[in-house]
Amino acid sequence: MQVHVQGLRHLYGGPGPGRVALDVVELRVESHAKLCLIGGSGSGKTTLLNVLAGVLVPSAGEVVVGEQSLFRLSEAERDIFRARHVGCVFQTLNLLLGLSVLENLTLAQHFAGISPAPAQRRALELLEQLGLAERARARPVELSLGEQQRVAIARAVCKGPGLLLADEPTASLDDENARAAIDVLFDTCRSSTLIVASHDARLIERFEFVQPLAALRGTAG
Amino acid sequence: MRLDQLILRNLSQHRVSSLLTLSNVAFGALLVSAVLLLRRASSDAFVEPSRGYALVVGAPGSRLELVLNTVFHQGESPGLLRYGVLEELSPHASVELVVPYAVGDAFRGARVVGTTDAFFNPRFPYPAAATSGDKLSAGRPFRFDAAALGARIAQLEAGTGGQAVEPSAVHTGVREAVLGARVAERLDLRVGDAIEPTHGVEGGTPHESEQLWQVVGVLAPTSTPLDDVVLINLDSFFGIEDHRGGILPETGKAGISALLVFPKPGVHKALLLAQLNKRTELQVADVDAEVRRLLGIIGHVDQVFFAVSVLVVLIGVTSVSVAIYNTLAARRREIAILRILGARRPTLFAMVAGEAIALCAVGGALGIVLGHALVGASAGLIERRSGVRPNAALFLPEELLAYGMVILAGALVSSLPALAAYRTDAASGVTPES
Repeated sequence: MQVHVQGLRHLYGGPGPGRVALDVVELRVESHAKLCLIGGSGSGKTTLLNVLAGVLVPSAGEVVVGEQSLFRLSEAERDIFRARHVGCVFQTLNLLLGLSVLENLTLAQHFAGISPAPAQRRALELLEQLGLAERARARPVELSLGEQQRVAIARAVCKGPGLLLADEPTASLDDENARAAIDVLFDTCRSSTLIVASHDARLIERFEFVQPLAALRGTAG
Repeated sequence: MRLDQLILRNLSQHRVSSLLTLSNVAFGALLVSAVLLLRRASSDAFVEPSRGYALVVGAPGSRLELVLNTVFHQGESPGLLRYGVLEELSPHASVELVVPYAVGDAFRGARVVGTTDAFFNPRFPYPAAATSGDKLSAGRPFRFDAAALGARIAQLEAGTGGQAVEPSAVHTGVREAVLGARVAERLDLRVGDAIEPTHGVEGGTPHESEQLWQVVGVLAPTSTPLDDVVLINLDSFFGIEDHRGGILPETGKAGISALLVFPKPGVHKALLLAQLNKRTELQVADVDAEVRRLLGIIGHVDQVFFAVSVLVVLIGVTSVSVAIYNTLAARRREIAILRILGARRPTLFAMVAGEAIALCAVGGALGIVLGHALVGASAGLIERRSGVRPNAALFLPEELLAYGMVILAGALVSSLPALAAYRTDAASGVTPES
C-alpha cells in the first residue's frame, strides 16, 4: 500500500499561532517498502504516525494511503479504513489487559470485519509462528515484556494490513528481546508497507530506507 | 470477539465494582418486587373474598369492623343484633337470602360460626356451586332444626324475664359441624371426627361442660377466609351454656352477630340500604364500599412503600452509572486503544451503555427473584401477623414493567459515561509524544 504525504502541517495549542508539531513538505513510501523515520524527542514522529493512522486530523495537507485520500473520508469512514488496512504497534504495547492474548488478536480482526472462525484460525497460526501458541489463553500481564511486544506486533499484523505503523517498538526492550521483536516485525509484514518511528540504533540498522524527519521540513517551519 | 463478549470481559475485569453496583440494583428491585407482591396479596385478600357479598347487617358501630368480622373473619364483632331482625328481613320483598352469623367460639385456631342451612343455599357465593351438596368436598351439610332454634331462643329469652319454657319442650337438636377446607387439612380432620370448640374467637377457655360436635362435612376450597372457619348449626350454637349470655341487655332478646343479606337483583340493594340506614338499633354495611374504603387506607401506605422502593432502585441504577463513570478515567487508555484498533465511536458508546444495561438487567432480575424468595420465606410470618398470605410463586405483569423500567433507567443514566467514552480521542492517552 503506497503512502503519499504532501504539505502536511500540524499545530498544537488550539486557536491562534500554535506550536508546530509536524511539518512535512512531501513524503512518498512505495508499496511494501520498509521505512524508518528517525528524529529526536518532540520531532513529530508520533504525530506523523497518528496522522497516517487517521486518528489525528492534521491542520493542513493531504495524506493518501493506497488510493484513498485519508482526510477526505468522514471520521467513521476513516475508522473503518484504519480497522481494515492499518495496523499499529505502540511503544507502550497497549494490549488490552482484560482480554487474553488470543482475544486481543481476534478483537482487532473483528473490527476489520473478519468473522470469528477465520479470525481465530489466523490468530492461532500467527501465535504458533511467534512461539506463543501455549500462551494464547494467558492474560498480557502473565507474559514477559518481550512476549508482550510480540503479541502487540501479532495483533497489528493478524488482520493483514496494507500499512503497518510502529512507534518505537523496541524502546523498552533489552537487546535480546529487541532483536526478537525486530525479526518478528520483518517476518510478519512482508506483504505490508512498514513505517517505523524510532531512534533505536538496533532497529535503524535493519532498514534499507531511513528518513530523518527533520529533512522533510519546509523552510517556513 | 463480539461486543457482548467485550462487555462481559470489562465487567469481569472490574468485578468488585460490578458486583457492588449490581447488588444496589438488585436490592432496589427486591424491594419493588416484594412491595408489589404484598400489595397484590392485600388486594387479593380483600377484593376476591368479598366478591358476591352485598350487605351486612349488624349492631351499630364501625361498618368496616362489621365487614371485616363477617366477611373476612378478622377482628371482633361490633356487638349483638336482635335475632328478630333475621325473621323480619327473611320475608322482605327486596331480599333473596339472609344468612345469619353467630361468632365467639373457636376450635384450635379456627373461628367457629353458628349459622343456618341458608349458608348452603346456592345463592350464597362460597363455595360456588349449583346445589347445596356440591358446596362440600366431603360429607353433607349439617342438619338445621328451625324448631329447635326457636325453642332455644325462647328458653334464652325466658331466662331473662321472658315467657318460661318447660325444659321438656326444648328440642335437644343435633350438634354437627362442617369444616372449612383449610381447617380440615391443617387439623387433619375428617367426616366422623368430633370437635370441641372453646369460648372466645382466639380459642380461649373451654366451655363449662364438655360439648362435642360431630364433623359431618368439609366445604369445597374457596380461597377465601371461609376455608379457615368451622360452621356449626345455629341451634346448637345457642345450646352452648355460655351463650346464654347472648342476650341484648336492654331488650332481653336473643342476639346474633350479623346477617349477610343478599338482595334481589336491580334496585333492591339500594332500597334495602336506604330503609335499613334509617334504623338506629342496627347498621348496614355495603361490602363493596367498605372494601374500597379499606383498600384506600391500605393504598396510601403501600404507595409510600412503593415510592421508597422505586427511589432505592433509582439510587441503585444511578450508582451503576457513577461506578462506570469513575472507572472511565482509568479506562481512557483502553478506550483509545479500541479506537486505534478501529472501534467506531458508536461502538464505544454501545459498549459502555451495554455494561450499565447488563448490570441493571442482571441486578433487576436477581432482585425480582430474591424478592420472591424473601416473600416466600416470610409468607407464613406475614400470614400470622396480618392474615394475608402473599403468593411468592405469582409473577406480576407490574414486575415485568418495573424490570423494563430498570433497564430503561440504566440505559438513560449510562448515557453520561457512554458519552464520555464516545468523545475519547483516539490519539490521546495511547502514545507518548516523540
